[in-house]
Amino acid sequence: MHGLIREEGSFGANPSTKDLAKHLYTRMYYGKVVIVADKPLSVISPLRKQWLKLARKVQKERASTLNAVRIKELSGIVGYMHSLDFTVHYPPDDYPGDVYIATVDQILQWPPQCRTMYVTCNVELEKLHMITAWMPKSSLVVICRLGLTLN
Amino acid sequence: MAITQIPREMSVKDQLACSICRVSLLLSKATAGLFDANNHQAFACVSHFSEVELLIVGWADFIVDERRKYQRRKVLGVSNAWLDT
Repeated sequence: MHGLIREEGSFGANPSTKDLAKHLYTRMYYGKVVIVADKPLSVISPLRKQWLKLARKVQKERASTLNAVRIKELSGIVGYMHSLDFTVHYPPDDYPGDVYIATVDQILQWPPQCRTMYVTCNVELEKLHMITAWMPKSSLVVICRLGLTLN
Repeated sequence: MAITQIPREMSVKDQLACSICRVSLLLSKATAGLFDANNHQAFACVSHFSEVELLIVGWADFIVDERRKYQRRKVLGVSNAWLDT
């Protein structure tokens, strides 16, 4: 994990997909995002749900402000949020998407060149080094082990 | 606990400030967010994750400010030092 930013425990003791969506909001502009999960299918639905809820909150903020510059920016953000494509298909070269949710074994076969990776399950240190090996310098790895309650 | 490792070559200012509330903060209380106009990593307080409205508006305003700085510098050739005053 040389040259990478590592972030841990930002969401408190019991992180959820809601926290993940809020963090993703701050990283959505920097290319593909990869989420490492034990069961990608059980993460994608609650994550998308939380993502759309967050987009709705952005719309509410846009509606509640009179600042024209902020309205324009928030409109762009909402449009971009709705355009993000979440997928459990991997690798990125074969399947179009923006946010990839995959298992460690899938990612090990094709380490991504993404700027942001979320690790939501237990991953051995050696494997973590391998899956982050192709990430550009100063990319972000967020360790957030999701609890049993995914929503 | 938040940022636990940053690259050696990454220049982090001594006085790190939250991009949302401008309060000075430690890396251990920071979360990595967007990049600024100089393509440097910007940070924010971890506590903002619990205030979603502030998080939304804070980063939106940050984007507007940094875009303005970038455009001024590129189009008009005005330095960031002047813009920060």
